Order: sequence, then structure tokens, then C-alpha cells
Amino acid sequence: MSEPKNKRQKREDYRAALRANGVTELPRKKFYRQRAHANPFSDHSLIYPPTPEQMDWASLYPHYAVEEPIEQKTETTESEESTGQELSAPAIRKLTKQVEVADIGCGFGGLLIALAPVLPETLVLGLEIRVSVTQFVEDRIKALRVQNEEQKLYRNIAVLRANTMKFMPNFFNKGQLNKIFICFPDPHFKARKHKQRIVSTTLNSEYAYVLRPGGIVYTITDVPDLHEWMVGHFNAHPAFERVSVEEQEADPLVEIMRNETEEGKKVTRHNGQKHVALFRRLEDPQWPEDVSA
Amino acid sequence: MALPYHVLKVCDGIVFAARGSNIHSFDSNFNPISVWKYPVKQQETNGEKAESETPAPVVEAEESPAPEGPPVKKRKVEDGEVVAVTEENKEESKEDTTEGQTETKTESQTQEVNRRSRRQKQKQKTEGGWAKNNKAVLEKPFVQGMYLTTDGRHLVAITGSDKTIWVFEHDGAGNLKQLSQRAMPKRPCALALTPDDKTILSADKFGDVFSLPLLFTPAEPTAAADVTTTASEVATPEPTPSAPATPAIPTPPTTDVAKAQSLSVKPQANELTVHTLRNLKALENQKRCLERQKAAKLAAALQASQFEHTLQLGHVSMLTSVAVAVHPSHPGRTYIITADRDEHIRVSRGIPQAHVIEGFLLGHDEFVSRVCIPEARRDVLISGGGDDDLFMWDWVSGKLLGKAPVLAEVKKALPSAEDAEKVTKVAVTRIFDVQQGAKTQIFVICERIPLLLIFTLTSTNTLQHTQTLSLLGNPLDVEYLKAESKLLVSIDPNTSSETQEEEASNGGVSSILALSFDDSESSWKVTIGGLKATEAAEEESSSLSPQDLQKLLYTTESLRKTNKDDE
Repeated sequence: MSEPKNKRQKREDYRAALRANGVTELPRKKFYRQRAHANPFSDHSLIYPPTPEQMDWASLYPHYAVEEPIEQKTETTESEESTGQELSAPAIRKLTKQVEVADIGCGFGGLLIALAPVLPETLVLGLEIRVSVTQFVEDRIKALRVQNEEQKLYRNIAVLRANTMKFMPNFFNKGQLNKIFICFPDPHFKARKHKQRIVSTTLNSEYAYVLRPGGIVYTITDVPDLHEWMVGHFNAHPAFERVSVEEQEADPLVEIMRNETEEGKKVTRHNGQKHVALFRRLEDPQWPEDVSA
Repeated sequence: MALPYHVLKVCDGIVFAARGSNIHSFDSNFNPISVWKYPVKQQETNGEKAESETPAPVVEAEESPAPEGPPVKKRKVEDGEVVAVTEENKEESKEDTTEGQTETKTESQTQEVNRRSRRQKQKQKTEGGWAKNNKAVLEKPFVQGMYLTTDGRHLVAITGSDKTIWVFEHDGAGNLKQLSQRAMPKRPCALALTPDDKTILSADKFGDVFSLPLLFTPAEPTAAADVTTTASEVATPEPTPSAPATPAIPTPPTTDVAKAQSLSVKPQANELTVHTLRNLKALENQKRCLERQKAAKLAAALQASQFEHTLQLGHVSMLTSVAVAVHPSHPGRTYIITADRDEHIRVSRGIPQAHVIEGFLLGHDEFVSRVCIPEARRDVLISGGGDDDLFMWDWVSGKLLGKAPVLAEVKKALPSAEDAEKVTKVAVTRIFDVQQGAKTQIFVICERIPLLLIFTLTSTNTLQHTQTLSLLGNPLDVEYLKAESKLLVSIDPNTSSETQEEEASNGGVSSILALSFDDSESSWKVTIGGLKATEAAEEESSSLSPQDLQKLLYTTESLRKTNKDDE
């Protein structure tokens, strides 16, 4: 039992070597495995901006950063009366456009990579709670960007470690997103774990908050009960309506979601079923006082 | 250990002060009027039950009268055991203390107890473990908060570990009549009442906000009880969760039943989602097991909604504060503002559109523990928590208007440099506004800091620090007696300094201080006429150790995130 290197050591060596090489080759999954579940209720050592404005998007999408960092009014007046927002020392570089598509629980990033060439003009962000998996996707995107430098591909996708159940409003402003993908989420079979499901009455309100009216939530799962759960909860939510099957099948992204996610491929191998449901964000209702007036 | 008055509420000339699990009322000169005592169980029966429980739960279950519903209530006691109390005993003691218990009311309580005991059974395993780690568990839970309706005719209180919301009728003279007691699914952290006084909003530890009618009529008790009995007879010979089993410590069979109960009737996985042989077998087992539990489930579903409570909105984080607000620009619109441990303050629309999130007030780096919308300046929201500053917001637009230092002021005011060195962080526990003529004064207290910080909210939307008052003990709550222009501050007498102990021997320590504004010096001063600690001390003191009491009284700092180094 005297292995020269244990798993962790190998893993670290591999990742270090990959970085040293400037990440030109695609990372190998076996060095990034992590247990499939993370507790969304615990305080992970997460990094998140206090407000969306303070998010450093330029480091995720360097090719879309505004050329010259906007000169912000830096601390010229350090008087005690702190009026207005305190500005952090290095001015945050802005992007020429905003992230409009989010893949919540992007896993190993299959969908992101498939979406990159299909939505070339849109910034797509993958969000994943597991550290190793996020690193894998990060390295994967880096490698792809290098490999496809001439075609300028994969510059519009990025990944971020985040707990969306808690911190989505820290990243996105109201109505910023156009599409949200929720692909093969953790089913959480036990009834007492249902609060951990990524779709719930209360979380749907947050999805409605970050989505603009007309925006679409894409869901797919191989667990029929979870499918029913998601459909039930989105249908019951006043801010969403289900997209008709014809429209759903006409959407080219649905086919990508079916076949390009890692989990989708696995389900295909096992001849499993895939349940798709799309939901459209409706306009907010009028205030009751305005209706009566 | 003398218990302090840790929660205050003023209703015109009446002061309600919660002390441990009881609510005392005083007139404006601190003459006691009445006491509402938390219904206590009797000590003998407690011990007797605890002994007989363990060996044969099944037999006991058959003996107890089923049609009344399980007459068992489990409550955590100090050793972390769950002790059963029979409903009769509980009611007996209740009749001693509270007057005007009607028949329907006790019936409805039985129903609730019924529900709760079942829910607790499902959770016994985890709660047992929790109790073991937390010695500060009481036989009687502390009052966590008191809230008044705008007309002052009802007082709503929450108690901690039993997760119960109590509604009292207030006769205007300080006498409380208990109207209802509702145990919530999760521990309520804060309440708010809608402007029409008809609805309670309860923000809980799990992040959900439920709405409950203030006054509730209990569901038809007999019908539900009948269904329960038939269902439990049909179901299984074993003690089902709906049967009145009395075990204090979960025995394996009951735990299994409880576990199975938590699964839904339909198996959630199917042959296509399960890929290994073993899992397939487990799935079959699960299906069989669920089949058996179906009847029990049916009964559970019928029992589920004993009182109306509707989920309005939710965070995935512990809620700390909730407020219902109306912005001056749109008097017809109500908003629900909720604050959580993950630095968020959310502004949602009021009922019935609580699903619409209007915005977030983002900028806090630590937990938010309190939000305050001054009565006279409803366009402004002041928030505080684990940060060094108070934050001031234009809450409807989501704009930060400014900050006011708390930690810095605390450091300045502490007598010795040594003390000031030690204080590196503050946890704001109360933000309280008082309108004084045209001046909006904001009073702030922090956990374990014997100071009262006073700020003035100016018309140009800045918070100006005007005064820091040294107190002789840690302040626990602040209230304002408008009629007398007196500010009341309740003090934890156990934290008083030596000088105060000298005073104590002369009978001079105040457990509730009265402060009044001195116009000539334009500052707040402690006046004579507070509630003396000695007066309060004649009542039974708690069996709690000082450490346990501290744990119960000072809970805010524990909201701070510490384990920041995991994967």
C-alpha cells in the first residue's frame, strides 16, 4: 500500500502542470472529480460581490472588456461624512455587454461549450457550486479559447463558482437575463430535502427577478417526479407560464440541451427518458391600487 | 440567576416586558399590573412519565385515549431529552394562570399539539443531537419578540424553541387574554403585522415568510379526530405516527415509521433512473414500504392544515428581520421587507403580490440583524448587523444613501483604551426610532456593549451621531413611552459592573432604565423611576446557569459566519 503518490497529490500535480503549460490542452475529468452533492445551506467559502455593480466581469470575459477602464471618482474626499457608495480602490472594468444567459448548475460545462458557437453575440455564464468541477470548466474554457484563437471562439462563455440559491441577486441585476438553463438538477428524492431543490415557489420568484419579461427558463431532467415538481411549481407561480410544446420543439437550444450536457449524454447511454419543460417569464402584474384606480 | 426583562413593548401607557417565558405588564410608573405565565408542566408527572416511557411505547400507545388525539407534547429539556407531557396536566396549569380558556380553544390546542408531536417525532433524531450540543435548552422557551397591532388591542408574541406564535387580546389596561397559540413548522425569527392588523407575517429560521390571520377560528376538531382514529386503526398494528405513542426517546420501530412517513407516497425514482442492481432492490423495497404507509399518509394529509398559513416568499437563508412598509409616494402600495443572514435585504410587494421582488438593498458585508423604517421618515430604511456601520437606504429605489459608524463610536465611548482594543466587531441588536418634535432620533444598541448610541436622522438624509450614553449593564431592548416622553432601556443586571453591585445592595439597580430628554443640555439622561431589579428579583429566579442564560440572551453575534474555509 505504499503508493508513491496519492490521489490528491496526483491531482494537484496535474493541475499545476496544466497551468504551467498555459492551458493549451483540454483538462481531463478524472483529476477534477468531486462528490455529486453540495449543501446549499452551508456557508461555503464563497466569493461573491456585495452588489452586481462590484462584480469583476472583465476577468471572466477579457475579450469583452471596455478598452479603457472608466475613470471613477476615486477617494478624493475622505471626509467622515460618508455620502454615497464607497468606491473600492481599483476601478472595476466594465464590459461592452452584459451576461444574458445563465446555466445554473452547469456541471462539467457541456452545455456552455455547445452554446458558445450558437449564441456568438451573447455572454453565457455557467454557475456551479462545486469547487473542483468549476475549476475543470475554467481550465476547459481556457484551453478552448487558446485552441480556437483564430476563430475567436469560446470568448463568450465563462464559469463561476457560486451558490445561486443564496447569491443570485449579487451577480445579476433585475431583468438582466434572457435565458436560464436548469439542466438535470439534483433530484433530492427525500421529502425533507425538497427545500434543497433548485426549483421551488420561493426561488422561482428570484428567477423571475433576474429574468426580463419574455425570458425563458429551460428545464430538463430524467426523473419524472422532479419534472412534475418543476412543472407544478413554475405553473403555479404567477410570474411564469409554460411554453407550448410546438414552440419548445422549434427552439434549437432545446435540442442542444437534450444532447450536449454531460448528464444528458449519460442518460442517453442508459436509455433513460428526458423530460423537457420551458417557461416564459410574464410581465409583472399591475399594483392592486393601479388596477382599482 | 436573576432573569432580565429582555423584550419590551409599549402600548400607550402600558409597558409589556418579557422576562424569560413570561410577559409582565406595568403601568407608566412601573407598578405591576398583571403577568401572563407560559403554561408549565408539573414536575412530578414529568419525572413519572420519563420513567415509564422508555420500556414499552407500544403498550402505552394503546392505553392512551385515541379520539382526543395524541395527548402528548414533547419539549426539549435541559439534558437534551424529549419529555412527554400529558395534555391534561398542561391544561390544568394553564387554567391556573390564564383566564378565559374556552372549550373550543383547548380542543384546537390539542390538535396543534397533535401535529407538533408528530412533526417532532420525525425530527427527533436531529433534535436530540442538537440538544446535546446545546445545553441551553429550556423546559420553557423564552419569549423572542412581542408585536402590537396598530390599534393596540392585540399583542402577538413568539417563543423560541417551541416555535409558537401567541396572540393575546389586550384590554387597554395591561391585561392579556390568550386567544391562540400556533406552532409554526420552523422557528419564527421575526414577525410583522400588515397595516390592516388582520394578518401576521412570520419570518422563520428556514428563510420563509408565512402569512397567518391574526384571529383564527380553529378547524372542525371532531371530524379530523375521527378520521385519525379510523386511519390509525386501519393502517398497521404498529404505532403509527398518528397514534398516540408516548416514547420520549425514539425507539427504532417508531423512528422507522417516522422516516417512512417523510417519503412521499409515490416512489420518486423509477427503473430507468436507477442503474445498479442494489439500487433497484432498494427501490422495490421502498415501493413496498410506501404501500404500507399509504393509509397513515392519508391521515397525515388530513391533519396537515390545522390552521391557515400561506407561504408568501422565501430566502435560502435564515431571516432576521421583517417589516411591512408603505412608501409616502404611493400610499396604496404595501411592501414586505425581509433581511437575512447572507447580507441581503429584499424588497417585495405586499400581499397578494408578494411573489414580485421589487429589488434588493445590497452592500452589507456581514449579516443584517435589524431593519428600521422610522415612523416619520417612511422613505428611509436603516439597517444594521455585523457590519461596522449602519446603512441608510432609499429602499424603494434601492439606493444607498449613506452610512453611519457604529464600531468607531463604540470604541470612542468605551472608558479605557484597553476595552476599546478588545472590541473589534459589533453586532447591532436594536435600531429604534423616536420622533421628537421635528427631530428623528435613532437609538442603537449592540450586543454585549453597555452603551446606547443616539443618532439623528437629518432632513438631508444623513445619520448624525449626537450622543453616546454609558449604561450600567448590557442593554437588551429599547422602547419609548410616548405619553411620558420617556425612553425605556432594559438592562441585563447580571452584567453590571462593581459600582452597580454596591448600588444593588442599596436596592438601586434598575432592570429597566427610564431616560428623558434634557432640553437645556439637549441630551438624554437617566431619570429616577425605572424598574428596580430588587423589585423584580422577588420572583422565582431561573435555574439556568449564567452561561446558558447568556447563550439565550445574546444570539445575534452567532449569526456571523465563521467557518469560511471549507470546500
